[in-house]
Amino acid sequence: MEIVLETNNLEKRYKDFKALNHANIHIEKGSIYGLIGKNGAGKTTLIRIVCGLQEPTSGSYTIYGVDNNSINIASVRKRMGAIIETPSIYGDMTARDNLIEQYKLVGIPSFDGIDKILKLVGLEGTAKKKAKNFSLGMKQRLGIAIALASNPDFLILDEPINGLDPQGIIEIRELILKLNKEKRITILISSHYLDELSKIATHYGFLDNGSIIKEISNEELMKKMEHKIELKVSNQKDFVKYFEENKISYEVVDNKTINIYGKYNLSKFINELSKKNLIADEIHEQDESLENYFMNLIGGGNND
Amino acid sequence: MIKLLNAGLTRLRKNKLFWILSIFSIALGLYMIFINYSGMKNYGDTIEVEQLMLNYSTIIGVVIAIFTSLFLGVEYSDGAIRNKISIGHKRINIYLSNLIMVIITSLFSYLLFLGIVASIGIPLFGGITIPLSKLLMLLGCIFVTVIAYSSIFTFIAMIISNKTITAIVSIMLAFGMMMMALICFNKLEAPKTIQAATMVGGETKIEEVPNPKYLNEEERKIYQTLLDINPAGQMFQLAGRTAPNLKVLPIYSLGILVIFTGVGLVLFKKKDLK
Repeated sequence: MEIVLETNNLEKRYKDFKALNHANIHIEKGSIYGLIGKNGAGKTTLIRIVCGLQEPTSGSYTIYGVDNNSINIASVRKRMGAIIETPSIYGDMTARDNLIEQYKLVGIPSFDGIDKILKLVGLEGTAKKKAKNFSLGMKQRLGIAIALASNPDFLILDEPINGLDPQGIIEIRELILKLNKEKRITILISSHYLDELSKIATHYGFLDNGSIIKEISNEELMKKMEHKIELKVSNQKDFVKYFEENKISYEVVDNKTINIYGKYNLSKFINELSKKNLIADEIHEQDESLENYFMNLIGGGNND
Repeated sequence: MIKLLNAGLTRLRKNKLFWILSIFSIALGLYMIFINYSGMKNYGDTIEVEQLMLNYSTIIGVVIAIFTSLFLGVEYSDGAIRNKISIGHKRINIYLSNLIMVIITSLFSYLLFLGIVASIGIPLFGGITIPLSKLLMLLGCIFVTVIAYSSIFTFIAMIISNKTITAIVSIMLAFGMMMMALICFNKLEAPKTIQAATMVGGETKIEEVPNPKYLNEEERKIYQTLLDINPAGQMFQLAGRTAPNLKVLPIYSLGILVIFTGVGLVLFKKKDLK
């Protein structure tokens, strides 16, 4: 699988504060990569560095295999579009004029594609309305339209749903999915709205205190978030053998703990086990959410 | 660079501030003609049209400071600079294209003023009374100083990311340069002798005595150099046609351009943008 963006021990210091601490992320082509972290975890710093707005203190990154110290890094950025924190739009211009400006910046001589982009982001009816009079959702969509002007293969969206109303959130979500599915654009999206991210992301990177503490695909994550029964056992081998024989999805966590994934009736499940003389010391039934998973990863309230 | 300039010119055409500046330049030209025409009609003043052509130079520093801080300040506040960088434009090109935009606009403003004054003023007040070559040289020097001003205020706008702070610093600097120029001017203009009244035998006697504030040769050189280096000082001398050495002024202006742009490029290249 082709890697679009890879960072290697990326570090960024502001005087004594480490905003990024050996951060390593890997974004595969075609994916929607959800970068999850609390406020101040380093999400925006990482995005600023990747977009060339800041230089890393140490470490490196590659975009489409081109190293950040390479002379070609500016050229490869032409394959990118980005919205960092707030969309880059001129408030005193209309949506169309903003796109004309962007077309000129990227060197596209014909403006034929502008109507198509405006339609794609749902801003075709804004006519002479100045961008400064747009709603927050419209501004975000115009920001995405501007980012799409260069026909990018890789789109970076930093907190795109911040401050949006539910309708705006749905519109942005649908737009992101459309861009990924129809235009095959790889998307890096940072947010602390976990529920929203879980609706679109194909991969996740969990950022805490400037470090990526876990990268996981949506598939793996969903598996982990399935209904789960945690067993504390002393005869682990016998339990494993039984689960193997009965094709029960399990995970050995440590030498005393086994997690069972899937929907089971707990009393029937215990009955079945006891018939085989498999008696657990403790049994816990859990429903994991992305939020729980994230909080467990970063160590819950201890990190706040 | 061409793409940046092309986009910049498009933005300029749609920019309200640019049109306000253009209207101001035209209005200033018309106002100067009107005031001087009134003076000629009512008091029989003799109006030298070339003087009117040079007058805008004394205040254009403040005009460039306001325009640059607001026009380029928006580049930061609306996220245009980060957009340009993230789509692959080099910082050096972004800085230089912004500088060129400011120079173009500032010169355009002066030319607009000049056009109004020349087209209405010459038929109204009569032809130019000084040799054309002399006028062209003075205007040429003014244009080079306009470029120097542009480089200073572009430097401020590109280094300070906050539009309000940029505007305050730029405008204060523009007035500060004018103040400094006036101080130097006053020092240099101090007469060699002054009249002093003394009482001799109950009678007041007025006599010429050496002025203690009169600068010696060394001091005169220092103050003249300070006046020559300062773009506001250059403009005062050009508008008043008092520059003792006209040829050094563009050299100082080009020096300002090179230094401010060079330092600005280095700092902007290293600047962490948000």
